[in-house]
Amino acid sequence: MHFSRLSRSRSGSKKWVLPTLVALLLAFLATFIPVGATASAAVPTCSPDATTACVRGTLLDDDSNAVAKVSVTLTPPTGPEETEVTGSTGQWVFSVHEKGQYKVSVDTSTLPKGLKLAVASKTLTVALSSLAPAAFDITGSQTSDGHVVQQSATSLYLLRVWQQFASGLRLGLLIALASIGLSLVYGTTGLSNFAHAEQVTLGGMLGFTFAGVLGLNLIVASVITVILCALTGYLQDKFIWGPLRKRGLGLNQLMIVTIGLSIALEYTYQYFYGGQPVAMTGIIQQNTGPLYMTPISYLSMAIAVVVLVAVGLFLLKTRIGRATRAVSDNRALAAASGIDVDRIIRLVWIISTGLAGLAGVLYSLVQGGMQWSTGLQLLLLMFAAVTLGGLGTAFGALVGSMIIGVVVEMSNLVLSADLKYATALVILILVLLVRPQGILGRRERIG
Amino acid sequence: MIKTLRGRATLTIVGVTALAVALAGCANNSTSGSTPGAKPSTSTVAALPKAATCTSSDDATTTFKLGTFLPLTGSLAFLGPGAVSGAGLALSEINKDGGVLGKPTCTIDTDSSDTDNPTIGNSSIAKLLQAKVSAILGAESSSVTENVLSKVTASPGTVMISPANTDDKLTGISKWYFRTAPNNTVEANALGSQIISDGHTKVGILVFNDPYGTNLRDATQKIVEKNGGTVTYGATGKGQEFPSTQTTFSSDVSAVLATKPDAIVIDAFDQTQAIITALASAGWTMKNTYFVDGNLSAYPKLAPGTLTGAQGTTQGVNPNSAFKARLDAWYVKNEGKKLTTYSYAAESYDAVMLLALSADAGKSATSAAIQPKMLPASGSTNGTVCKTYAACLPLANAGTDFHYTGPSSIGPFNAGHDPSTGYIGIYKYNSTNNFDFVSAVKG
Repeated sequence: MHFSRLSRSRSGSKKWVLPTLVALLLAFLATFIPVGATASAAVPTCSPDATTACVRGTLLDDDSNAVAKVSVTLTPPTGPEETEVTGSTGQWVFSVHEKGQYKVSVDTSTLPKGLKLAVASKTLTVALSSLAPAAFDITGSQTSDGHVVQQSATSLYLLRVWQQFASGLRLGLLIALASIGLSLVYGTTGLSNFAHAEQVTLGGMLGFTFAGVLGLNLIVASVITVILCALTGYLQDKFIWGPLRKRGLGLNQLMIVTIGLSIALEYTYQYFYGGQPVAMTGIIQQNTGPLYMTPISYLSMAIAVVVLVAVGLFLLKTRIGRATRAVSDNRALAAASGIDVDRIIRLVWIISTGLAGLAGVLYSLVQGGMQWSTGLQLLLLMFAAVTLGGLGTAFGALVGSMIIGVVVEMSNLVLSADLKYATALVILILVLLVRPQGILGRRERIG
Repeated sequence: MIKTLRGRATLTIVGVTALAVALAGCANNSTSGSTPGAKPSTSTVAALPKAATCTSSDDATTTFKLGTFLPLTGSLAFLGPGAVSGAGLALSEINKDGGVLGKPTCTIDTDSSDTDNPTIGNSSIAKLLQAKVSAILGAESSSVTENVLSKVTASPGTVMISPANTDDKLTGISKWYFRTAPNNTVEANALGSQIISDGHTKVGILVFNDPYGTNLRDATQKIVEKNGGTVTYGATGKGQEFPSTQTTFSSDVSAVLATKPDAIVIDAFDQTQAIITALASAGWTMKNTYFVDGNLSAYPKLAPGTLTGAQGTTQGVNPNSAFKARLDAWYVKNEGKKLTTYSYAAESYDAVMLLALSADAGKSATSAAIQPKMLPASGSTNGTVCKTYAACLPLANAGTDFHYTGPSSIGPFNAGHDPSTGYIGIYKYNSTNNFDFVSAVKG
């Protein structure tokens, strides 16, 4: 008895499963059918040609929802009036075959309850083979309670300030990740590496090659990319910078070499990857959460923080890290105390290009793509960040990057949007006037 | 050793490129099928070989030497292939139909690059002027043209014709300068009318700080305001333009959305893909977005459906499928790649046809002979209408007035050397991020 009831109830619930699934499936499919696609076929279409002009408009309420079933009347300069009723897209259109002044009026009595129209008729000058538009500004909303949910201007502004601050933090962290290598290379070798930006681009490009072209899993593709980028650092130091150092090439000459390499690499990317941005994935995520960002942005920021802390701890706590700082402080003294300077420098190149590659991958994921020229456009910000924080110091690069990132993303709140990079650079100059060594830099002993 | 290494590297590169081309090809095949009747069947069109590159032995008065000055690199490079194929196809067809002045034409192809790399454009122009080309086709970007124009028009003067310049400041700038694209007031008229007629009165414009962008913005704003709309963001004099080298757009998107627009116009070049991503992430309804000729392009790298319903305007009528098939076949044969954009292809084709026919009519391949024949060839004297090089050539040789009308459907040049009328095509994006022709309006 007890058992049978159980089984009956089970079979009873089974009866519901199929219809529920079908309903769910239908609901799911319905989301793919464009709303209004079938209904718009009922609205006459018009295509301008040598003998036709179109008088057209669309009635939308304050929520940008279509206002349907409203009568619109066209009064031509000669001949009878025409009347049309808007369809589910709110659109109305008249094909006319004569140029001249036409009057369009909306029958306000056919407007849904709660909607108002300030100006109900307009006169248009129509030329043939053209489109004559008429806008009717309908106020009010058609939602169930007829009440428009208006966000106040202040709350919109505050939201914008918060969003831009958050994007500033995100940009800052990514610049920090990219520029810490720039700072380390400068610290250990004294070289301002202009081609460092192209290492960032390389990360995005290789990421696209593995994830976008070869279709590898995003994580696998990112790991391979970072390893390959680090490998380019090893190869560069082995075949270019190491031999050039041994030959005693001056820092200025080396810097010119990096500029040449930067330009050569940039156009190589454009040759192979084309002019448009290439993305690791075409999926666009929705902004969410307290910072109003895509989930991948949160993840990228977390990865950036973890990696930056790890690099910091590596430099402070490990033997090799201390050796790196020793080389950075005084190369001759470090060599004299038994540190293999060339090995340290090679390690710095590997870390530096690996981090740049990681920054490139994260940047590409966060911004929806990497372009052949993206690295170069970031280079100025990266140099500004490391100089602001103090050249050659890892934590300085972090502090400088955060300041530059936030300033770049927030400056358009008060200044012209065109000046966002200029503002960042003006701040750099001001800070250097007060603290020539940068925020966290050591004061150089002179003489 | 070095040689073998390099050889192997080249092989790998060739392999990777071939793979990329094959993949791109797949993507395009699936998208082009969505335009009914526009699917070009490349196999049926016999592809013509590319015109030869000019040599120093080619005489400047008897050989028609076309110098192309198109964006092969830089921020407009993604719109270059259309013009390259249009110009190349025109030269190949001219050669098939007997050449100019009875001799095959030749070409010198150079890179105009973009405004951020003026040295590339300047050296290209120097190369073309030194080679004493009959005429120069280019540039695509109005600001690049403005940078080099003084060199081109300096005595003795060389004819320069652009397939894509829209800046209204270029109207009547020099007797040597022509263009086959209507100026931006024509496009702005079509774009503004489309936005208003779609029921949008509050328009946000994301515009970059370049003469192309700001001029088109100014003109669009006038049309929107004339029809009772307002520009909520990016309006003239508000200082909300972004720098052309910008790569992150979240702050601009936050700013434009805070003004609560009904519609957003993206008035930019290759910054557009990043802007689309930022807008979509912020939850903007993409069908209320409008593109302009500088960025109306397929975006195959975005997730399918991202751009569904978004609209855009560009110069010219939609090229018919036969013309597209000829362009496709020419490009695949001579450039080894599949054509991804037809932007400015018809305008470039017609520009080259007008130059060649003017040389025939002027009985010399020099700029001095071509320049005075350009206006009549475009129909300013109401000559006999002819539609192909083969049909116009006998008229030009006989010295009769003729009026060449080609695939771009522009009207005769006016006194300012602009097309007196031109068509603007309105397009709508489909679920594959490619766009379909909706209608064309005359302006």
